[in-house]
Amino acid sequence: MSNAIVSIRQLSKRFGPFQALKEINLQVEQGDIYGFLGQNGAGKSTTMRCMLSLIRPDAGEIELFGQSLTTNREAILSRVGCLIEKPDFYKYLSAFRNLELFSRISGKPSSRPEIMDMLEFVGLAGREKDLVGGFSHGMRQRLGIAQTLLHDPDLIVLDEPTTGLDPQGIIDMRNLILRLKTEKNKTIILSSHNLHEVELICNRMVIIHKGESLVEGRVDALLQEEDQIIRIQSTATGQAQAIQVLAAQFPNLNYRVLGLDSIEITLAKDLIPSLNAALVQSGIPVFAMEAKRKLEDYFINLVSA
Amino acid sequence: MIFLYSTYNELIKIALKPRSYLGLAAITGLVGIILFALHADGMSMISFVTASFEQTLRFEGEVLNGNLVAFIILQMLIVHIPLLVALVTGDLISGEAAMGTLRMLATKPISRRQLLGSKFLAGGIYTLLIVIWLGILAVLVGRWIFGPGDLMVLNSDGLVIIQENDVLWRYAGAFCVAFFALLTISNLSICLSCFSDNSIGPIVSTMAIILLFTIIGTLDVPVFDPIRPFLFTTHMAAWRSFFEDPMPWDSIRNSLWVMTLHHVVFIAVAMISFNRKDITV
Repeated sequence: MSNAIVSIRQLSKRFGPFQALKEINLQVEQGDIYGFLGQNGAGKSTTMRCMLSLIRPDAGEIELFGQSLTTNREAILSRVGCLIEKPDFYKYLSAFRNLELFSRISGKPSSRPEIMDMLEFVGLAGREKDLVGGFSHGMRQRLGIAQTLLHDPDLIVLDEPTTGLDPQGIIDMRNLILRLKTEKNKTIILSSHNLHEVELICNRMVIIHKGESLVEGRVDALLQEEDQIIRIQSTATGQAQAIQVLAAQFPNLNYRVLGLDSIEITLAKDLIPSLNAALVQSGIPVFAMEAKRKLEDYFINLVSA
Repeated sequence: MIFLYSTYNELIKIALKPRSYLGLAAITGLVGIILFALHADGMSMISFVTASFEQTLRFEGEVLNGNLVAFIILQMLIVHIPLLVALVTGDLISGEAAMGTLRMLATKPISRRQLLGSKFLAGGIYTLLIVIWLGILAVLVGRWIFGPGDLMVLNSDGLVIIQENDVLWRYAGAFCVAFFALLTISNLSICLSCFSDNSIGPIVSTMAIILLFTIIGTLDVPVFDPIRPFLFTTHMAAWRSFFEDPMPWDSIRNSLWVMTLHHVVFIAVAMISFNRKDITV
């Protein structure tokens, strides 16, 4: 039996002459951290907006929690928390008042202590009386997360949650998402054009390009399909010796020489241990053997194909 | 229940938005100026108006009393109040769209009809407060400063004198009709607000429509005769009918019907449009 929290079939949307989405299919399961990957304007946000009934699709079906969004919109949205694009609040109201307003119409109004606890959870304790107009982007993002989580939703939808954050803010946001998954067992959908982010935190993903879903599935399984690119760092002598080993023992491998001491080799994952052993047995000093960012190559290969 | 919560939210937003107090402050300031002017030099104005009657009529008592002052205030200000109403109600949807909060609201488990309905209700309550405030300032403060007395109203048919004990209920009726007329403005501006993603557009559009309809209504050109009775601006001054003798109930009823029709059309158009609106900002 399918454990799908979100099921989208044949979703299409056109804005005038522009085909924003073309027969998108995807399925998000309970407990997933599901990544929407794609370039700017690929259709990630439009898909999310359709999922939250902000945009009416021209065709296709959207089911959340096994119910049709068209016929059960309110019941579904009471179980969803979302942050679409940038978090926008009433600038003339305080952080507390903003959360109070949104919580009142979220299907499960929160008490004052619950709001204060949530502000503390996102690191805004002591700022509850401050007007949102004076908040930095990072603080608004945190308040947006608080607004998203306040009614304890089962599904959390985050549209580019780290955009505009400083490095520490990005790390905090990433940790927060992982905590939501591990501590609260939430299902999370997040869109990003930051490949590293998706690779680090998502277990499943879809790649959307020009309104179409190119691939969908488990991140590790999708990346398994690809050859690995590894970079070996040695010495100048070691580099020359490694080239000889490759020519003798792995004549079919593609490689390229980098600088005076490194080589970049493309190979199947199961060949890596034997390559490693061959280098060590030949007495080549290996200072580093690292996989190049895989998702980045996977993504670029896919969208440029 | 969620509709009531949403209405409560809307009222809180209106109450905490500085712009909402512009209307109340403007009315207070304008009424203050009118009261001061009438208190300082009101009698010369009254003498100017009554000069033509002085050879045939003898006026006893205080002509410039609280009731007349309230009538003058209402007459002078009711034309300007639509702007003050539209300033707040025209912003209820488009202002949220411009701020981005409409997107946040629309992802909550409240139907778009309920969301919009709560905005119409909140806009109506704000309009009512504006009218009540005007009533308090014009009638109560006017009577407190100038004292009670018979109301003398000059209209197109001549001079109407209304006894002091017959005045207050007429004011109550006049303010109710004035509120109903201003509610048309509130509903129109909220309706226009559904079509815009910036805050100024619906306010300016509302005023432009009022101006256009008023010009059509006052232009004495036969080509406009068939549509003139159906323009809401034609009925905006229906409150004045409460100060005629005998009272033209048919005319008042007709005005209320035309304005009701406008309310229904504005709300229906807004509902359909908002329900279909793609929230892309």
